Amino acid sequence: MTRNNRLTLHHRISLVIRLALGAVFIFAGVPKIMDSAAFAGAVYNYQLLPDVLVNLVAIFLPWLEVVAGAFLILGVWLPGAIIIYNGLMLTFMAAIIISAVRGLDINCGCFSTGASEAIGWKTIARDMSLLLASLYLLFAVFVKNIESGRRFPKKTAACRPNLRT
Amino acid sequence: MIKSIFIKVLWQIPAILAITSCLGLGFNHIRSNRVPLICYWSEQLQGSRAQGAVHIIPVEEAARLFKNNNAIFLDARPESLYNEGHIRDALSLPWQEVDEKFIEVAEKIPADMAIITYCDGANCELCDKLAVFLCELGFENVSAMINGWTVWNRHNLPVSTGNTP
Repeated sequence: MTRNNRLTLHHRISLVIRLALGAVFIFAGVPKIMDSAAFAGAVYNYQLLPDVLVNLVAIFLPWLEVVAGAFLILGVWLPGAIIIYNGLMLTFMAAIIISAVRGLDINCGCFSTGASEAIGWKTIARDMSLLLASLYLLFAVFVKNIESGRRFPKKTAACRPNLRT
Repeated sequence: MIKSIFIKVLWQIPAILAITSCLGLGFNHIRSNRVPLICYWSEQLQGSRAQGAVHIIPVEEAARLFKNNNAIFLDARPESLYNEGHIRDALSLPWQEVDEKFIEVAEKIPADMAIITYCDGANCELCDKLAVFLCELGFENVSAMINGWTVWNRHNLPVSTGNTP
């Protein structure tokens, strides 16, 4: 077993985090897709977007969560998917913190469109841990250069046996 | 290496956004309960309350009528939210489907009872609109309970779940 064959610690950690974060976004996105009207109401209640954008965001955002989540799990287009994931987490954090500071008494609309969860410190703490995990992935992919769960470096022309001779 | 990952990000993010737009708009187009792409929420919602056309009932008053069995509650939220939880004995009359469902629900409203409409969220005015609609149809003694579902829960008043009252 050469050194290249081994999964590094960062590989293992980032694989686990990728699967977990991907599952979280898919789990969060699907109910919003199923009930766009109710999610649009939740978006409107945040009072952060102009009216024109409310429904478009309500249609678009859940799919972005599901696609980014699926790509993280599958290891497809990781650099792009991770940037989008981080961007979404930052946006959600900002929206929730702004609403908490403004004292808005609204539903989170985070995991379901129902009235199950009001925004509060618990929501902020949960989002903060998700954000930390996704920042770690950002570090793993962009600094440690872990692009996918791939164990072996890509074969280069130099490694290929020359069959013609 | 750094450069190649940067280039990947540059094309992957627009590609993911494009895929997401297609999925979101496509799915919204083919589904039965699609939402309009652009909806002027504030204009639609704020008219009725600003004009003072609706009698707003505080939760304490609503709770008193509930205990004396003097009022019937109408849930203006989408049916999925009604099923997740609603004020006990409330009937579901989603504002989005009011034209189709109204006749069926109207038959169940006892003649001598006050009607209280509610939805959820301080800015949710589905209940106002429903109340105005009922007033215009000639129902007397109609009021709206603002942020009804949330305040009802906060006062620990009786609720039920499922698609029956």
